[in-house]
Amino acid sequence: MHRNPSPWLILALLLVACAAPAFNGTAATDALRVSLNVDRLAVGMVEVHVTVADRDGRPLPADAITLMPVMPTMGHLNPEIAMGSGADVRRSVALFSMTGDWTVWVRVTAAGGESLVSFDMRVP
Amino acid sequence: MIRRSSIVIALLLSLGSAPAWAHVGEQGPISTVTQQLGTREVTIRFELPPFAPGAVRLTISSDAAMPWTLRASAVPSGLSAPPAPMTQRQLRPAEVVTIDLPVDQAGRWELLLDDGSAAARVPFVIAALQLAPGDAQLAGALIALLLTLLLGMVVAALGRTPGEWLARGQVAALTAVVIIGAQQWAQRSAAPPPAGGRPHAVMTLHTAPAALLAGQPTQLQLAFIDGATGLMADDIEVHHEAYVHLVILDDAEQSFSHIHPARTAPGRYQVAWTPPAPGDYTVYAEIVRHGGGASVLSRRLTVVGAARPRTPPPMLPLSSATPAGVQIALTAAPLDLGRPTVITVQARDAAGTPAAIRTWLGMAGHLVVRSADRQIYAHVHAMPSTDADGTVRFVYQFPGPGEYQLHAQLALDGGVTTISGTLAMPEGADAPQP
Repeated sequence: MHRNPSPWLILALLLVACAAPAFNGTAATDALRVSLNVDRLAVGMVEVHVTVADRDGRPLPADAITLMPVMPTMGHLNPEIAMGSGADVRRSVALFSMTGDWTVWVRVTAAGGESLVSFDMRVP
Repeated sequence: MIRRSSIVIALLLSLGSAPAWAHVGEQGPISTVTQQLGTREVTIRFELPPFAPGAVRLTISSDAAMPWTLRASAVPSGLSAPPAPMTQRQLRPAEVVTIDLPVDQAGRWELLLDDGSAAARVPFVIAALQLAPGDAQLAGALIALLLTLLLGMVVAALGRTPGEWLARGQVAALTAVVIIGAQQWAQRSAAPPPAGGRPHAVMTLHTAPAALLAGQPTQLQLAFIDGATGLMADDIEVHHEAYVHLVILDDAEQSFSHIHPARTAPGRYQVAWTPPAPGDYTVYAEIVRHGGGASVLSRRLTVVGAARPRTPPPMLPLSSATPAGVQIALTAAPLDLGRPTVITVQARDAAGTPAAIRTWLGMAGHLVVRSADRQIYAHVHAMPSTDADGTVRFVYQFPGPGEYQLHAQLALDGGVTTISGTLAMPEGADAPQP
């Protein structure tokens, strides 16, 4: 007797189709390169992953990494969110308070200096 | 089978019509920016490549009266210095130069320009090919459906009976396409239009040196700050070919400057200006923030120096001659309160032939109007005209009686020329107004 795989496949596809999009981006300054991953562009708690590297791509442990979400069209500036320290940090945070276009500033304190990079994203 | 194939083709075609995501600062593949670099006004025409790696083509012209050195480089936004030596060119007056600068990645970039002393950073965006959320899943489902259909065709062509597994695969793939496609459609239909507008901006103005002396060159340093967050407002868009149209008028209406500061850093602009005479001045900055309309921000300046006799601006109608001998007439009619007035500028050469008028900052002419009490400030653009009659016309409805100073600007072969005069709008019964 055959087992019909279609319902499981359809269910899996439904789950994939309903998932919120993710964000991946990289920005560089004179001193370092910052990569930002947000697992879901959605209101509520999301998993944020920040990696810091030097200009040659070697991991660069940061003394502090903070996020600052801004919604330019609404004039919303949220308090900075401390992500911790290190070259590779992950944290579950409430990044977006509403849907719309956001700019997430990432402030990195490393190697005796401070760098600021930004990423634009849309929360559908 | 043919019907199934048609569905697949139609769905594949529908993928191509997905709207592209907007990029902040993106102004299309071709745009023009005018800025003051040192003592000259430089116009840069950008031709952006459709994707990276590629090259940005710059066509650069200026109103320089002397030979000058231009250095240019493109750097990813965030880097303060170019990774390679800047491209350098020696330019003669009125020379137009074309420079190709390589860009190796999509994203935000800045064009670094300098002339050895003054510098500017002009932002631009190399568009990235971005899929809308769910597009990848939909494409995968469509490919799976296409493959199972092709496999079915091959099996049928070989004279074999397709197995049940193939039929189930086709049904599963088709179902996936329908589910994901419907989800995509519903998401896009429900998605609100991108929110527009921006909070108000605040402008600060500092001068270097701080004390202004008539006849002494100074640097005007402008900063635009978001009025809601306090962050630098770096979303000022090019409008009429410049980021900031800076108009400087003195209270005695003796001088008029319309200049275009260079962007030196996010939200920061700088331009050289030499105050012609002592007195009090108003600096008007016209800007357009991304997604917002135009706004005018103003600041006051005081210039000290030896007073000299001053002549009030002449009353309309009037005419004056440019150094090149072109006669320019400025007239206005009708002068009926509550009705539009047509302000006409006519340029004729010595032989009476209509002078050629070039487009400047995207318009045939610009007119600044200010009431004598400084309550009203307007920037009027010439009406579009295809007539090569050496005439530009502006239409403006004066809001009340009294005296107004007019400063009309148009570009002739010898450069941009300004004619200024005073108009007296008489008292009268207000006509019904729109």
